[in-house]
Amino acid sequence: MDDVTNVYEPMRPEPVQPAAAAPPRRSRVRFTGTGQEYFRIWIVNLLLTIVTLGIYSAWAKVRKMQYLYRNTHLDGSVFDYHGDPIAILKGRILVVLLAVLYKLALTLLGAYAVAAVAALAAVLPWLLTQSFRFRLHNSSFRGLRFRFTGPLLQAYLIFGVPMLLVLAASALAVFGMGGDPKHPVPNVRALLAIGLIYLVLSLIWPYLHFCLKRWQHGHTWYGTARARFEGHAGSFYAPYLAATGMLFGIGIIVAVLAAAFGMAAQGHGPPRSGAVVIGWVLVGLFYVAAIAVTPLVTAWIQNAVWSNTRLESVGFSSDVRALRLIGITLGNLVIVVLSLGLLIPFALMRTIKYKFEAIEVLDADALGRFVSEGKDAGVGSAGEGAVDVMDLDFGL
Amino acid sequence: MSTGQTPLRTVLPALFYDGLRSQPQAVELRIGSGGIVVRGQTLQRGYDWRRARLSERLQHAPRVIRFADGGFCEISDQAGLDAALAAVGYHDSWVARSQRRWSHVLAAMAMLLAAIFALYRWGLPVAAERVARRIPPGVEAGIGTRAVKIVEQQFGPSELAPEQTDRVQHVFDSIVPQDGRSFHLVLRDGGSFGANAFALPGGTVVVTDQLVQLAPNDAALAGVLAHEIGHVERRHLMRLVISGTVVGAVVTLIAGDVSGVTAALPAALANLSYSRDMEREADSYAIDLLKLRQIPIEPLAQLLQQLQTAHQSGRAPGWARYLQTHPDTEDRIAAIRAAER
Repeated sequence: MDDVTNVYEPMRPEPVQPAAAAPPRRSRVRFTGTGQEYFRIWIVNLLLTIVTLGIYSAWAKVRKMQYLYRNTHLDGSVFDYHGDPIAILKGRILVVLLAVLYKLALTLLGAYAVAAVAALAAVLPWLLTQSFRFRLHNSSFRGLRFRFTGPLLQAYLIFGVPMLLVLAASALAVFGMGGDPKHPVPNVRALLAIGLIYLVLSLIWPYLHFCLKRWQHGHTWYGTARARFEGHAGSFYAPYLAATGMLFGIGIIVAVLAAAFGMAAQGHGPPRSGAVVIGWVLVGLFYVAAIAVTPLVTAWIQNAVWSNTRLESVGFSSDVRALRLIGITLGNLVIVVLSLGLLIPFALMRTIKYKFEAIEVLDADALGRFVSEGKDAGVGSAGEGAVDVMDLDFGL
Repeated sequence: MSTGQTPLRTVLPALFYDGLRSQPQAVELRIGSGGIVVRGQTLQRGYDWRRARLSERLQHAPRVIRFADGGFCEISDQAGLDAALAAVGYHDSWVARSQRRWSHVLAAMAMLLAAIFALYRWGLPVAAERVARRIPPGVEAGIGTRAVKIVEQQFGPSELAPEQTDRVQHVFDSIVPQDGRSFHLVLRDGGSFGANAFALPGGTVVVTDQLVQLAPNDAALAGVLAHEIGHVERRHLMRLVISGTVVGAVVTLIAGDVSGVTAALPAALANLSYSRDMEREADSYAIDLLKLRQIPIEPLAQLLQQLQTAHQSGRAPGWARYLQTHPDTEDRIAAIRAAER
């Protein structure tokens, strides 16, 4: 230990034979999109979309995706997006048609609206599967395309189970109430059954989320390599439990404060405007809390998902900090509302940058060892519009 | 210059990918008007400009040149590439160029605001009106039947004396326009809603007992009924549903990136303005109908005054008017009295 400069060992001339035990080189994702640059793309996209009555939105989508992908750097290379605007346009037309049909059926069919919901539920898993397929087949890194081979049957299980439960609860609410239809008497048994259904749904929800991520990450291919997902359902229960606890905690505080102010206000006879204002402030507080728990779930689940995904010898890690993401989300809410929406692009870039740059590849040198599986098969984009409409972002 | 081979002088560092393996290769690019030459340690390839595709220029992302054989280059030296492209006379698409210039972006922003305003103020109301007119009567009646059922569940049966019910029905029958549409009058107990009246699609007009009791005379009652008939005749509810859907879609398009919750509020606010316009339209329809039937208009103004007192809603402060479904009652009364003269 006489040579202190030994800590700079890696700086020495490279040895002919690299040491077998040398730790793999890590590389963090870098995102270089900026609010001011994306703002300009966003404005032009919006103008052309509105002027063309929505038709340009497919081209706008491609511009946006290419901006996001090409600004995502990993070990010196960038991602790219290859979606065909015409295919996206066809997908969007299909989705709009379905939405109109659904809305019409809902207004016209009355009590049979449950049938319309069921019909929608029947096509939704297919649409979502198509959408994931389209997005991945049109994503590339270093010239190799990604692919998605998640079985449709699993999609029907993952999305079908919660939809069936909600449908059953709605059907009970519509048909299960006894008595004269003009004066419905709450049927205790039906109410209990509905409560039980929602209890079961909330208990299995984290597990379903786990199944969804396993389905997505376990059936993703990069060239000839298939990703593996080794996560556990337990790591999906933790964030939901924490979020529920947080909401309950804030709810109790709000209720106590409300009760305290309510009692203070009672002494003064008629309700005073001050008490009303405080009431609204408390409601607002709860609303903000509800917005704040979503990033908590997002952060923990992103970490659980990426730290348990492997692509052959390449492992990943993700270290999103929930508090930081909550701060960013609430800050974004403030700037977007105060700017009347004008700063949306800045908010979006900030969130994406933080979420993307939390991801690290554990063996960057292995990224060069993948090979293409040859000609990629074309994929319809029927579902691609649905992801936007339903705001189900898959992320990268 | 179609065959003239300019010397390939500009040399740029780049990463080359062959499309088969994920291993990047450091290469030198030589760009000339004749073509592109890619040279690395183990490869040398020449490409035709006409069959290559160049990505748009972004500030912090490498530019990509894709070749016909599936290979491509990522070039990070933006300034060097710009110079090389300028030398061979390459131009970006106009959309890409506009996106880069703040002056164009500001102009686009101004045009965007103008387009949204024009569509919102003139385009959408006209389109919604046209679409609403094309909705088959059967469909509208179907929606109406459902709405009537909901109203019958929400409000208790009317407790008016039979002679009072007959009186309202008589006033209603005496003013309904004879245009082939079948109008229905439904009387219900308003409960906590108090004195109120509203129209449902297909021709049903709902009036609460409390409003009938509040009306000082038949003329005032006729005025309120005429206002609601105006809503039916002009298909206001269907128009609101249509415009609400479109406004919602546009707001989602703009704000959907952030959150669905934040998007719902501006959409609701935007539709309220249409709602206020429709109240004014129904008022003016009522005035015309009353004049046609030679019924005095002043009682309607008086009833509106009474309704305002009954609901204890004072004159709203300026900003709050944008939160209301109805125009300010004082303004409505003033407009009605002005029409009388």
